[in-house]
Amino acid sequence: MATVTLEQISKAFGATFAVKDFSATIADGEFVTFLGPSGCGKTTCLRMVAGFIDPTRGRVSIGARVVSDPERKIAVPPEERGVGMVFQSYAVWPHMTVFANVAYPLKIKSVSKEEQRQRVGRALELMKMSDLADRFPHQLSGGQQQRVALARALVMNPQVLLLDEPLSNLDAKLREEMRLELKQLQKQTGVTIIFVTHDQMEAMVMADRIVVMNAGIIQQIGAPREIYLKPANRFVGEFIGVANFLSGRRRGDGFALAASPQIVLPFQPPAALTSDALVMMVRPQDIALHPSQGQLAAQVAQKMFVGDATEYFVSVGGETLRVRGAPREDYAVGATVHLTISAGQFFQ
Amino acid sequence: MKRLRLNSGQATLAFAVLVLTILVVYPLAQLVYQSIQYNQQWSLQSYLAAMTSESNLLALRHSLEVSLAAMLGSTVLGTFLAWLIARTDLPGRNFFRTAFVLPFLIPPFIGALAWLQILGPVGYLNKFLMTLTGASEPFWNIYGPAGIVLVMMLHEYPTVFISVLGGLERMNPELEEAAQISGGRIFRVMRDVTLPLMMPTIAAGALLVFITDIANFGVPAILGFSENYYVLTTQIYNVITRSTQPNSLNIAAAMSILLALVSGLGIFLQRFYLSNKEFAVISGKSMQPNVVKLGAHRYWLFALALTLFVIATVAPLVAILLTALVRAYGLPPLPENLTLQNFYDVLMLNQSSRRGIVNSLGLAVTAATIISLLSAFIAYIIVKTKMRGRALLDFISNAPYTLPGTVVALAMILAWLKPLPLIDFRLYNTIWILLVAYVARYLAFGVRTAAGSLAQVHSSLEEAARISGAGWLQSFRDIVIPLIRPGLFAGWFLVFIPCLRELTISALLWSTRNETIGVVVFNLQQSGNTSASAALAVIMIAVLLIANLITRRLTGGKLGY
Ligand SMILES: Nc1ncnc2c1ncn2[C@@H]1O[C@H](COP(=O)(O)OP(=O)(O)O)[C@@H](O)[C@H]1O
Ligand SMILES: [Mg+2]
Repeated sequence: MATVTLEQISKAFGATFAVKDFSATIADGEFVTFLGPSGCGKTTCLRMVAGFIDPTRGRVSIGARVVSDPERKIAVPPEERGVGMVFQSYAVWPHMTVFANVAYPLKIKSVSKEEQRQRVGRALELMKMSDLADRFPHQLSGGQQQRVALARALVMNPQVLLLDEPLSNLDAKLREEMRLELKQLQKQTGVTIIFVTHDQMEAMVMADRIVVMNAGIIQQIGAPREIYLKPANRFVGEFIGVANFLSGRRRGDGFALAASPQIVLPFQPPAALTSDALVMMVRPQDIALHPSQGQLAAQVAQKMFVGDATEYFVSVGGETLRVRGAPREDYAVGATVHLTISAGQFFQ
Repeated sequence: MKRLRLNSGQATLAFAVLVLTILVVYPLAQLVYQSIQYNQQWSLQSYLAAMTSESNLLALRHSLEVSLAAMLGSTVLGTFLAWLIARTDLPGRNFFRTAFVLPFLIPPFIGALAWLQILGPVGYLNKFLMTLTGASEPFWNIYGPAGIVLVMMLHEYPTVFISVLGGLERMNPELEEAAQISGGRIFRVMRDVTLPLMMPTIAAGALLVFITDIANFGVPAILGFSENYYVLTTQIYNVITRSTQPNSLNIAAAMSILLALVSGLGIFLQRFYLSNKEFAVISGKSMQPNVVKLGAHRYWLFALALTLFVIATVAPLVAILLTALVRAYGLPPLPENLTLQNFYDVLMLNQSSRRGIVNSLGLAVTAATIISLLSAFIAYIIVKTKMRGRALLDFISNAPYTLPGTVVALAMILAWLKPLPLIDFRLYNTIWILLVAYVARYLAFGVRTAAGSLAQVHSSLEEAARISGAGWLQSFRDIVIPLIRPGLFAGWFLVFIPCLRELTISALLWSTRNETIGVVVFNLQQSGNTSASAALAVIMIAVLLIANLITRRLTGGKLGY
């Protein structure tokens, strides 16, 4: 197993940068997720670790070994990096059986037939695919093909396992199952995992740490909890979970809404934020509803019953907030409710 | 009102069936019928005679040998070049992508003529090498099987090239990357993953080459006759045109059916491979595939690619142009020997070549126009109606192009040899039998393009016309035809070009005063007038190039080369 170190890597396609000044250290045995909207450069980043794309500049190391460094003209090809990879299309070879697919990396290393049988057997067992070893891929479901791809990536005991949106082609139930299995797999094997996804739920559930990206640039690196509770900027706050944004400015030791300056919330923006106009992010679950008491009064504009809660859109002095009410509370559209905000975060 | 509409639809079907019966079904039925007649009686004697004759068996063997060898060569060459373009960083890839397809523009028998001028006993290359080395014998004699294979190979490799190139470009690159990340070096990945996955595509392309080569007449005729080397097509040609024995046409019919069966086996296998969808390796998104960095190898591989382009396309064109421009065949192409006299001869003096040009242009224009109109109807029935038997219409309209041309020509002879009843007019020995044969032969091209455009016309457009009160025929004329006009136009050129370059069928159906341009080139060559033959070939290629350019323009590059 090994750490993966990315130092200031950038990749330009023509004049535009798909990834810019990307630095991150992924610890030995860690499960790190690259998260961001489609087209933000996640795949490009992962493929630079795999060696399919050479960075324009910067340095990639796996363990103690520098595998990419254009300045020193180092570019170790993918087949020599000792990493495993699961592709979005699974890329299970249709002309080989399940066994032959999984055995292929060993065959290339000229591992003895006997050892091949043992190791493939173990990998298939780990993926609960032992009884399907003689099948051809077209006889397998999508989920089973994915397990073959995983077994194939793991059979060579890679130092690092790279996964590019591996769950996006599965149906919802199977996806949930695979999330848990992947987590478990990592515990069993101790392999370092880099997992790419655009699904924030997936990232939260699985990752030890998340690297949030946007437009090729890292926005924040941190544990799921930290990213959710203390987003580094408005993009991260908006991308992870649901968030309300209230514009306003500092007023004494409170925060006055821009749309209705007479409403002052009892939260003091940190002194570090020097600009006058500020934005306060409030998560729906940090807003309590009450029929008669609260910091501010609001009108219910829209409501949706979602089972474990009722989601309301309420208007307060020209702003619309999304809030959650307990399932047994019920406010009619047009009714006045009182809100109490318990936490929030300020951005410039 | 309702009944009237129904009737016009049925009338269309009846019309299509009648046309296809006359053009295709009747001649092919005649062919089968005559093959089981001997001395005007039912008998399998013709087949027995066809299969026991030593020269026929030899011709069959030659056919198989030559076609298989050419298939192998075309497949290796086409696959290698496709790989070079799709999977390496060879310089000039975009140029080669087009350049490697250009041999399709030269009719194969013209290619054979050209190679005769390069490597024949007094060919340019032979002479050059003889002067260089002082040898008294030609360096290589292109007559015979090796030459036939060479010319076929150089002419047909683009078939494999195009399909493999398409396959490689559509292949999901992650399949190769998965092998690479598994530790495979690029060539190992090519061997273990790329090649096996491309195998169905390669095999289908190879079989297509085989079918084309075994049906080819011009190349073995030009490079085989003088050596008495015959393949099935040229053997059948001989029996039809030269044999004085009784029942010779019956025996030729039996041989044609054997030829059709061999080629049919190839077609069957080809369809089988094409339908083999087990390896669905096509990816939705297009990604940059893995490219082999050729490094220092790129120089010699570039030189090799350029050489292949020169050999397959430039050399034959230059050779034939030089021959056309030289005063007398055999003289070195030096400035003092150059002349335009040969062009003057074939365009102004030689009556048969003048007739050939006029006839071919007339036939091509007429056949293309008739086919465009016919195929609108036939394609409509196939694509837009639920009429029973429409799949059969499709099959029948495809048959004359799928079968070897020699088979079609003999069927036409047998069908139209006797005078037509009532009007007592014999199509045989007139230009009309050529027209009928051309229309039958290339009908499939028209139907295919028309069907393609019809599939794009939503039926609600037509229904709107019907709701507005138009009858079926009226809405067909006012709505359908205008909407598919571009497709019909493209189909017109798609028929026009092959009609112009036709030799196989014309060689069997022409008669004095009714020559075609291909026949005249062939006859001039056979009678030893190489210079005139070359001049006419140059004119033919020029017309083909222009027609190809127009086709490309009109279809925005979708058709043509
Ligand atoms: N080979 C390429 N050539 C040009 N642009 C590319 C190439 N690959 C990716 N890009 C661009 O780089 C950006 C990042 O792509 P990618 O890494 O695939 O994003 P993600 O995986 O996050 O969806 C996109 O804007 C994409 O269009
Ligand atoms: Mg991606």
